[in-house]
Amino acid sequence: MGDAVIEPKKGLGSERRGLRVAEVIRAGESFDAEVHAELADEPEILRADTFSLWYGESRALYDISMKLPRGKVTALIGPSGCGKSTLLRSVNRMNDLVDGVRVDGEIRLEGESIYDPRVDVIELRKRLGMVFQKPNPFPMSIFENVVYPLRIDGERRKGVLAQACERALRQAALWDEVKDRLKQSALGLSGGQQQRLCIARAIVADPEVLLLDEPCSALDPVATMRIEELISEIAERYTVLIVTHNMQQAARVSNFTAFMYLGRLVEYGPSEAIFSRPILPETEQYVTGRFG
Amino acid sequence: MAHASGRRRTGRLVRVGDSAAGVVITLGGLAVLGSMLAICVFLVGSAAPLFRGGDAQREPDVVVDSEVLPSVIVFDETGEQAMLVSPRGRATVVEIGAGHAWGTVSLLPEGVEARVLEVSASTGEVAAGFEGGAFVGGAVRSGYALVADAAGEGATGLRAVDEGQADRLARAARFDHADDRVVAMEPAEGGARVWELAAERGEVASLGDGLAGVSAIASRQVSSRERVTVAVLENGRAYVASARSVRRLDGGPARERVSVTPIVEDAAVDAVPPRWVFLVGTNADVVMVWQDGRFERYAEVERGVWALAERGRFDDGGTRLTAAVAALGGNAILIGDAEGRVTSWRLTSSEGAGRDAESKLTRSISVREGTAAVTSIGVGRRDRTVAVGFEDGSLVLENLTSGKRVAGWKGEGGAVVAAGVAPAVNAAVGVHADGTLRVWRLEPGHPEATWLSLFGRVPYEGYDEPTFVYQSTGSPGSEPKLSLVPLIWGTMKATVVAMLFAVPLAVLAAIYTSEFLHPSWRKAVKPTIELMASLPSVVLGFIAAMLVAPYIAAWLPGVIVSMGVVPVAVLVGAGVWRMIPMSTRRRVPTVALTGLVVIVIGAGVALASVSGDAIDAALFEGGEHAAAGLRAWLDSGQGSAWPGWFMAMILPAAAAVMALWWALIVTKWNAITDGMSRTSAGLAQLGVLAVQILAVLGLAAFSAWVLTAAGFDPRRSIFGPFSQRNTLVVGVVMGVAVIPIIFTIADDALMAVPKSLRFASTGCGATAWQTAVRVVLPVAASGIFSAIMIGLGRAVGETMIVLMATGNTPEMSLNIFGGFRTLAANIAVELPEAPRGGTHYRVLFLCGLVLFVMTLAINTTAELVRQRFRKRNAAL
Repeated sequence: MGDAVIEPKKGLGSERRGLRVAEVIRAGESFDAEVHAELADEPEILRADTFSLWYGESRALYDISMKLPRGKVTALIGPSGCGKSTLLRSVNRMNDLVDGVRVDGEIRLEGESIYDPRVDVIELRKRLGMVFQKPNPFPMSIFENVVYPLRIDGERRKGVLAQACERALRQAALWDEVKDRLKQSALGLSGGQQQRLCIARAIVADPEVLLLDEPCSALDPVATMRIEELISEIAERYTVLIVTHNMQQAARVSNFTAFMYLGRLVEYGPSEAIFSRPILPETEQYVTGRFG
Repeated sequence: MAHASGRRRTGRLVRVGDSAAGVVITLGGLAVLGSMLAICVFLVGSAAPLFRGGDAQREPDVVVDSEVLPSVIVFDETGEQAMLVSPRGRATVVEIGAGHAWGTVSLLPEGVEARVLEVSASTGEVAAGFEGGAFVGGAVRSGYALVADAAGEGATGLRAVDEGQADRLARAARFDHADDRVVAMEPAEGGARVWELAAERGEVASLGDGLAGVSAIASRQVSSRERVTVAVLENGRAYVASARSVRRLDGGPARERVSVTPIVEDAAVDAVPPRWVFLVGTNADVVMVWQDGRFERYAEVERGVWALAERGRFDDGGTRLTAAVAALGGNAILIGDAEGRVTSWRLTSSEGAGRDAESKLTRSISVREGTAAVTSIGVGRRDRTVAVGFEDGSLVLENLTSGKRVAGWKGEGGAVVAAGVAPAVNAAVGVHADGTLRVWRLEPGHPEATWLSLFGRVPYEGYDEPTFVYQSTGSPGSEPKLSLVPLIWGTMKATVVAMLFAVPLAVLAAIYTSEFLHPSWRKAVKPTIELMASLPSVVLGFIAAMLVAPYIAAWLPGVIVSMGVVPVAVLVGAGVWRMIPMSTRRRVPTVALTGLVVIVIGAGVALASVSGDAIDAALFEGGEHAAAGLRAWLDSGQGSAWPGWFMAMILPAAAAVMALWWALIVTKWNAITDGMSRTSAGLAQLGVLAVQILAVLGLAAFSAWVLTAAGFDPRRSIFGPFSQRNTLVVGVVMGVAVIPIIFTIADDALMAVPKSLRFASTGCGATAWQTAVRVVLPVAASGIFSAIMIGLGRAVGETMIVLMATGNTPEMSLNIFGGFRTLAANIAVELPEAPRGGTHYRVLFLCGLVLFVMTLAINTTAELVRQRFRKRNAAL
C-alpha cells in the first residue's frame, strides 16, 4: 500500500487533457476535495478531520476530511491502493493490528475522537460492525456465528440469544435458508450465504455504523445481487460505509459516493451526481472506466 | 528460455537426472520403510520366544530293577547324571543319554536297611529312618572330577572336589564307605563323578522305645551349624533331633552335639500316623501331613519346647493326597492329590513380624489340574520348575512362579512313580511303575515368562498376596520377578506428571507468542525456545539430579507453597493492573508488561520461600501427634492426615470455586461492575479475589477434615516417604524438556489459523484473549493436540532424565515424592548385565516392544483425533 504501490496510470494526461487534479496529486501537492453541496444538509454520524495515516514510512492517507451522513449508504470508490480500505479500517481501528501504523488528525464517532488515548478500542469496535472482503465465518454453528458479538459481551441467556439471532438473520435475508440448520457448521454454507451470515453477525449487536469492505468481490454475480439487495434493505436501519471496486454497485446501492485517488479524497457527493455529472474530469473518467 | 531455437526442448541430461532422482528417492523411501519394519520385526522376534514353551528331545530309555523302584530323583548340577534313590536307601546313578545305569549302591552302611529314606531333590537333604525308631539326617551333594585314566594312575586335574576326595577317587572308583562319607561311581572314560553323602557322624538319634519303626522323616540344615531332623514313628509319636556342630576351644575338629526332643508323645493308639513330615519356613516348623488331607503344624515356642500351632486341611475334603514334597529350599510344600491337582503351600505371616507373628500355611499357587492322580513330584534345585508325574503315565514340567508349562509327555509303562528335573531344566526323567526310566533332554525356553507373570499379579515367594513386582536381578537362586506393570506404571507416572507441568505452560506460551507478543519479539523468542529443544537430555538429567532435586529437598515447603502463592500473586497483579487508567496502560509496551509479570512472579516466589517454613510449621508441627515439619510428616507416617489433605485439596477446591464463580455469579458481577469507575471496579475485583481465596482455603480445609474424619490418609496414595530424586523433580525437568516441542508445534498451529478469523473476531469487538480462546484455539485445537501428543511421545520414551533424576526403584505408588522406574530407563540400566538370549535379555526387548506399542498407540490416537479436527475445519 501507500505511494510505492501506486503506479502512475499509463496515458493519463497525455491521452486526455484537463486532468489537472490528478497531476497535482501525483506531484504530491496539497489539494482540497470537491465536496458537493448536498452533503452540507445531511446530519453526520462520523467525521474525519485532516486524517492521515502512515504504514511505517509510507503514507497511505493524506488529510482526509469528510463526514458520513447518518442513516445513508456511502460508497468509497477509487483505483486499487487509493486508500479506501485503509480509511474504512481506520474507522474501527483495525489498522492498529498492523505493525508500524501511525495516524494524524481525527476521526470522530458521534463527536468523540476515536483515536483519543482514553478510548477503549474494544468498546469502539462494539459500536461498529464490519464485513470483510472474503466471507470469514467462524468454524462454529450458524447460530454461534451470529450471536458471537453477544457472547463476547457475556450474554448467556438462551432466549435473548435466539431472538437476536433470528432478527439478525432475517435482516440479513438468510433466515429462511438456514432456520432449520442453525446448529450446523457455518462452513457448509455457500459463499454468498456465508457473506450474508457475516453481515448478520455484524448487525446482531446493533452497530451505529456498518463497515463493508468490498463485501461482494469474492462472490459470483447472483450472490452479489442478493448482497446488494440486502444492503439496500438494511440501509433503512443503519449507516453504511462500503468500499467497492464495482462502479455499478456503488451507483446502485449508495446514496453518496466518495472518489479517492492516491490516498486523497478527490470528489464526494450524492451518488447520482458523481456517476452522472461529476465536477471533476478525473471522477468522470474513473466512473466511466477510462481512468484508474 | 529457448525461444530462439523455435521450439522448447527438454535436454537429455535433464531427463536422465529426473529419472535418476526418481530412483534414488524411491529407494530412499523404501529403505526407510524397510528399516522401520525391520526394527519392528527384530523387536518382536527378540521378545516372542519368551512366550513359547520349551523343546524336549527323547533320549534312550533305561530299565531299572522294578523291585526297588526309586522314589526320589536327584540330578547333578550339569544335568548329565541323575541319582535315583529308593525308599530303602538304594541309589542308582544314570547317565542321561547313555541309555544305561552306572550301577547301584547303598547309601547306608553294609547290612543296614532303612525303613524310610527321604531325599529332598531341592536341597539334597537326606534323612533315613530305621526299624526301632533310629534315624539319621544328612545331605547328598554331587561333584565332578576328572582323573587321568581308568586305572587311576596319577590324578592330573580335579574340579569341584578337594584334594582328599581326589585321593579317594584315584584310589578306587568303587563304593567305599570306610569313612562313611563317599559314594563314588565307576569312572567313565577317564572321568568320574562323586556323589557324596555327608551324614551326621554315626547314628544321630537312637530312640529308646524300640516299639515302632520310623514312618516319615525329614531333615534340614537350618543354619550353617545346625541340622534339624524330624521323625514320626508308626505309633504316632514324633521326635525332633537337632545336631549342632560345636567348635572346640583347642582348635581341633568340631564336635557334634545332638539333642532329641519329643513333639508328640501321647498319640492315640489307633491313630493313623502322618504319611509325610516337613520342616517348613525360616523357623523350620514341623508340618505333618496325612493322606486324607489333614495337616498339623508344630512350632518351637521356646528352645526345646514344641507346641501345636495350626491344624488344617490341604483341600476342601474328600480327596486323597497322593504326593507331597518340600520345594523352594524348604519354604514351600507341594501337594498332589488323587484328582490330579498340584498346589503349592507356604507359611505366610499375617500382620506383625518376628516369632510372635500369626503364621499360617496358605495356598500360594495351583500349579495345574491333571486328569489322573498325581503320583510323584520332582523339584529342581535352583529353578522353580517342577516335574509332576501322573497315574496315567504322563509327566508335565511347569514353572512354579509363572505357572508356565515347559513341556509334557504321556508315556507307557504305568504310573510315574518318580519324577525329576535337572537344576538347569536341561533334562528330566520319569520312572514308570514297570521300571522303565524315560529320559528327556530339554531346551527349557523361558519358564519364568508368561503373559500372567509379565503383566499380571503373581504370588511370589515371601509375599503374602499376588503382586506386581519387577526384580530381575537378585542373588543366584532367588526368584526372578519380571512383572512389567511397575515399569509401565513408572513410565505413565513420569509422563503424566511431566505433562501436567508442561502442557499448560507450553500452550499458554504458544498463545502468548502467537496472539499477544509483538511480531518482532516473536521472531526472537521462538527460535530461542526451539534451541532449548536441542539441549541434550543428559544435561537436563544432570541438572535435575544435581540442582533441582537437592533444591526441592532443601526448600520443599517453600516449593509447595509457591505453587499456590505464585498464581495468586499473578491474579493480584492483574487486578492492580486493571485499576491503572487505560491511557497509562496503553503506553506500556508489551515487553515491559512481560517484565512486570516476571517481577510479580518473582515476588510470589520470594513470598513463598519466606512464608514456606512458617506455613510448614503451622500445618505440620504442633497438635496432638506432632511431626517435625512436612518431611517428617511424610517419612514417619505420624501426625494427623489433615494437613496433607489440606495441601492436596487446595487445587481441586480452587477449581470448584472458580467453576461456581463462572457458572453462577460472574454475569451478575459484571453487571454490577459495569457501572463502576475503573479504580473501584479494580478494588472490587481484588476484594472478590480475596473472598475467592478464603473460599478456596475454607473448602480445602473442610474437605480435608471430611477426608481425615473418614479415615483416609494421603500418605497411602498421592504422598508418601520423601526421596530426594522423586516424581516431582522428574515432572519439572522432563516438563522443561518437552515444553519446547509442544510450544513450537502449538505456536505453528496457532499461527496457521487464518488471519481473517482473527480480524472477524476483533472486528466484532472481541479482546485478544477472547479471540484467542473462542476463535483461534478451537481452530488450532488439532495442531495443539498433536503438539501435546508429540510431547507425550517424547516424555514416554525419555530415558536420561528419568534415569538420572529418579532412584530407579520399580515401585508402584501414586506418591509424588517417591521414585519410579520407566521402561526406557530399565532397558538402559539392565541391558549391559543381561546375558544375550536369556530370559532377562528378552524381557528387556519386551520392554522395548511395550514402549514401542505405547508410543504407537499415542501417535495413532493423536493422528486419528487430528484427522477428525482437520475434517471439521477443512472448509476454512
